[in-house]
Amino acid sequence: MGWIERIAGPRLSLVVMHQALIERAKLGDRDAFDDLARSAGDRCMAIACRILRDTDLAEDAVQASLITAWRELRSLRDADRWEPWLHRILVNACYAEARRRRRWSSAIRMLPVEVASGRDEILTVHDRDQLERAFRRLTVEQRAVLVLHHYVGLPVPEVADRLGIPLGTAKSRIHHATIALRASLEADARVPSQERTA
Amino acid sequence: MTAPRDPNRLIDAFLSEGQTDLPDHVYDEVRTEIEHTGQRTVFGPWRNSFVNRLVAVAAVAAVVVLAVVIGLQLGAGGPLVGGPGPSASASAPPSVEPSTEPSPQPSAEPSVEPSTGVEPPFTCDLPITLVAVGSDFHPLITQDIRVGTHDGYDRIVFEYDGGTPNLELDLAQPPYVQNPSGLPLTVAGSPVYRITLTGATKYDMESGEQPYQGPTDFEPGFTQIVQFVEFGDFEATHNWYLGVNKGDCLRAFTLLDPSRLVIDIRH
Repeated sequence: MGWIERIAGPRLSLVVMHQALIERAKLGDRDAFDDLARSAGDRCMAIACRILRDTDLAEDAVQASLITAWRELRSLRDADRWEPWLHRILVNACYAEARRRRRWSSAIRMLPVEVASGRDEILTVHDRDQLERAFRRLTVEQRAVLVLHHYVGLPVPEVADRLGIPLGTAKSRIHHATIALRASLEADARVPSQERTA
Repeated sequence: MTAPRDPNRLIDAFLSEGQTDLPDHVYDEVRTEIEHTGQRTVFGPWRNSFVNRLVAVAAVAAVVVLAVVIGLQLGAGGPLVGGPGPSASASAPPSVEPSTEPSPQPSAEPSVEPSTGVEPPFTCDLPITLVAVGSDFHPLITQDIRVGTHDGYDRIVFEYDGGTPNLELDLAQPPYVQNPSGLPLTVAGSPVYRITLTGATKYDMESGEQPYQGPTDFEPGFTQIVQFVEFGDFEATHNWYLGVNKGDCLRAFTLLDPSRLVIDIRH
């Protein structure tokens, strides 16, 4: 155990280490940035995958955002804002990937479903299919707010702050996206069971 | 009979599924890329509104002091009679009249930044996209929009206050409509391109100011640019149509200090 951990505890020591890495990376230390990227990469991949619904596009978006983060790191004034700052770059990269590739409606490679064994299964295969279809019909901006709100767990004001959009816009996007997803589930509930299996 | 299911819980469950690991090859590619990528130098927190105001006040004060000093020096050479100020000195050519109205038409002179030698090559592959670069968490405020013509290309420049937005440049298909009203819009030129700037707006929601007060419909009569017209500024997305004389390759890139997003249309 290091001196920081002995004095401040593991969580604070992690924050201090993170800030130290950012300061070193700002001075051009590529190894420090590599460590930062590896600590943030999985989280970024999870967000990008959920927004883009395509593993290849998500990898490209994360790669582009990490390179942009390296290039622009000196403009990050507050090291505590590293994660929100990186996530905003990531979401912008997702927008760019989505528009560049235009593969929403014809995506061949579906997001792999990884369901932990033994978990309480609340989604049926049909729910998953309906939600996937409805989600793909949303705009990429609506997907982003949904992912940050429902998956990352950010309150709506923080979603707006992180995306750089007015609070009303964030609320509106979440509202309309949620209505669309709910409608897909409710429409499904109205379909007779024999039609579902046809 | 089964209990009703909570849609929010289903959405949460749906979004909780999926890949959460970034493959090692992506880290390796990032590392390879940054080995030969430098970091942008930042000179100061330019987007801090308080600092911006201080800088603006200091700049105005410096101009006033300079004008007074020059005026006193000119006045020392002989009394000014009935003159409105230093600018009315005898040495000023009588034809020079300060314009109080912005010119409705852009100058046909190469008033926009000429080539800096770092531009990417022209490409005919559309769409062209650029990823946003920003230093904080608010939409970028448009400071200026300029068009100009140069030897071999016409140029459009969007200037911002400390970053550049996402750009998507693609061919537009009629009917051309305004966003969000959906009202029809006539755009001269063929083909017509659609320019989407995500994360940018002319309106500073915090201060209520609009730094760019210039035209939003340019018809400069350049070799390529026939009409360049705004069709939306809504929800931090700024939309423009660009009508040109003939389809040719384009390029888009950014410049620093001040932050600018540049679009060139080859002649």
